[in-house]
Order: sequence, then structure tokens, then C-alpha cells
Amino acid sequence: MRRQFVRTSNYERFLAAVSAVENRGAAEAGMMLVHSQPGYGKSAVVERWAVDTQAVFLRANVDWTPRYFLLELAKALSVDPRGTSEQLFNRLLAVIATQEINLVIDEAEASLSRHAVVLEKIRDFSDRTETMVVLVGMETIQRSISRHKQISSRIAQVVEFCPATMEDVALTCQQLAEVRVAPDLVAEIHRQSAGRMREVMNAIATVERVAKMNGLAEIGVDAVAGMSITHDWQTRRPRVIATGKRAG
Amino acid sequence: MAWRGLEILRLLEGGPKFRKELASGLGLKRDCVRDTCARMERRGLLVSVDGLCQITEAGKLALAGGEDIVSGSGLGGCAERYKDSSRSRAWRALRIRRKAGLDDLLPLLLESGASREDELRARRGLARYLDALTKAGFLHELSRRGGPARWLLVRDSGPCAPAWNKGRGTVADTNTGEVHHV
Repeated sequence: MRRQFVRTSNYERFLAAVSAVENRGAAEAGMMLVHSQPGYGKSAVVERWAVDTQAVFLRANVDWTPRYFLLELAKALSVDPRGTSEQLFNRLLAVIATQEINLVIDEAEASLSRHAVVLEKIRDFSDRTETMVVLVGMETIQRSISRHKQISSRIAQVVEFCPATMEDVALTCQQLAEVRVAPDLVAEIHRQSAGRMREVMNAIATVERVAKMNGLAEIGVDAVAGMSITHDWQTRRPRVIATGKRAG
Repeated sequence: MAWRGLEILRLLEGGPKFRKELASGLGLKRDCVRDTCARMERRGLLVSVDGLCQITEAGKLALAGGEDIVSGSGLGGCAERYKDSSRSRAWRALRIRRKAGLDDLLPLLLESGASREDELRARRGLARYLDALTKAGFLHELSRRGGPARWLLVRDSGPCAPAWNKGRGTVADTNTGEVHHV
């Protein structure tokens, strides 16, 4: 299986939202929220963007305090962490503002505890430096943030990652599989995975292995009949393709 | 000593500043700022009078990328120049993931639709770079447990990627100036 980045429809929507935030009207509304259920490819897309743009990427911890957050940020930017919180904050502001560094906070729900004091600190950076902050979280984060008006009013764009479309699955199979995956099997992978990219990747690895073992240049549903190509994460059981199945 | 020339020049772009302001702005020791400023003054990138520093036209040009700025040991270039190289991207990805294998890192380095040859070349180059980082003590190879090799970032020295010089057998830490022989 090949390893490269696939520009899915979620990635394109994410880039469009980034562009909208960059061209925003209100300078202080520099925050963006990315959320979805697990498995739709949030992390892969946001990590790729952070690598491309040299953004600082932090994973929020449940025990984060404003000081703990500042120390983590100082470590990521190689800034001297000594001194009072105010001195550290000003030092970090200078570096972030002069180098125009974007900030990604993954698992941002954790920054909402204790009346969102950590998220308020993050908002301070965005307000003062006018750089972008991308908050990444699960599907409930938007509702949780909406309780904090000072923060939610700064969010210029919200991107909800959706299940992968049939076109996304076809593109992923085309780019990553080292054998040709027939349209009927693409449709079956899409159906079984319910658009979860993690499942799609596992399915591609499986069908590719079967194709190689049988010396096939192209693989369809018939070749994997009776085998499991994805795993039902809710029932924790493998999903088996019925013998003689034809995908619609 | 870490090379902070570019950061200092960036701050000076906004107007003249005293060395102590530069030191507090960047969180550096005053000695470090004094030495770096002296070196840049010798190269005509800034002028300094009684501790007040001002960027020169040459400094502005250098900042805009018109001139290469390298520092210290000379064994590793300033990583800022190579910020879009595969090694810099791999280092950034390692700092995000902390624990990764080749298969995790390649999608973060390769463009969408990269050819099979590009992928193979990137895989080989990345494997050699990770091996050098492991020997220099930046990474620790995790036990395989039947799967592919994975590495843990054990020394995160800063945002600039360590520079591996294959010919000299060195890995220079561009954040701290340390040079490791591998």
C-alpha cells in the first residue's frame, strides 16, 4: 500500500475555511473550529496543514492551567520559560507576532475545563497577534464553546468533517492501492466503512493483500467474498462480505 | 550557542531596539544577544551604538531571503533556509506526533499524487535521516513487536530540524549549536 496524502473533500473544505479566516473582515475573529466524530480524518488533515504552514501543534491536557499551557507553548517555540506568567506571555507574544505563527490546539475540549480559563488565554494570543488558532475537537465541542460568548464570537469558521464520499473512497483507492480496485469493491468499501477513513485504509490494505496473493491486477467484490475487509467498531466484530454479493 | 540571528533581525525590522529589549523579547540571555549582534555587525547586517541596534539594508535583504545566513559550527546550515525540505517537514511531523514510523510520516511529507519513484526516494531518504537522528540521540527506536520500525522523539531541542551531514558523519543541532558525531 502506498503512503501519500489524499486530498479528500474534507481537506478541500478545511482549506477553504482557512482561506476565509485569512481574509476575514474582523481582525480579532481569528479562530477556527474543526470537529467531527472520530475516524473521519481530522487529525491527518490538521497535522498535514500544521506541517505545511509550520504552525505550532499542541494537544490539550485535562490538567492544563494557563501557566501549564504557556510552558508547553514556550517549549514548542524554544522560548525561555523562566519568569512570571506575564513575562512569559509577553515573550511568547513577541515571537508569535513577529514570526506570524499559527496555533493548532488538538483535543481542545480539555481546554474548556475550569470555566475555559485556558481557552481564554489562547484567545488572548489570537486577539493580540491576529494569527490564526485552529481548535480541533469531537462533535460536542461546538455546543460547549457556544456557552462562552467571548470565545465563540471569535470563531470565524466552523468545519465539520463529514463521512468520506464515494468519490473520496474511489480517489483513496486509486492513489493508495497498488492494484486497481474495481468500482463494485469501491462501493462496498464505502458502504462498510460508513465513510470512516481509518476503516477505508484498513480495507485497502486487506484487498491489496488478497489481490497480491492471487496475482490479480484488478480486484472486485467476487475476489473477497466471504472475507472480512472492515471491522464493525460498534459491535467489535469483523464485517464479512456475503458470498456472491454484488454491490449496487 | 543557538543561532538567533534571523529572529533578532525580524525584531529589528520594526525599528531600532536595545540589546536588553531584544533579549527580553526573545527570551534569550544578554550574552547570547550581544555575541549574535556582534557577529551580525561584522557581516554588515546591523549597526550598533551603545547597545542600540538597527538593521541595515543588507540585513533587510538577508531577512527577505536574498542572502544565506548560516552560523556557528558550519556543520549544519540554518534550518530556516531549508524549511520546506523533507527533513524539516519530517522533524516538524515528529514534534507533532512524538511517536511515528515511516508510514506515518510519508503522507505528511509527500504531495498528493506523488509518483512511485518519488515515494521510494523519499522513503529511503527519510529512513537514513531517522537512523542518523537515532544515533545522535534525538530518537529512540521502539521495539518492533512484529510490525514496522517506529521511533519515539526523546530529545525535542526546538523548532529547527537537526542537520545531518552524511559526508562528515555529524548531526548538528541547529537549535542549540551542539554537534553530534554519528
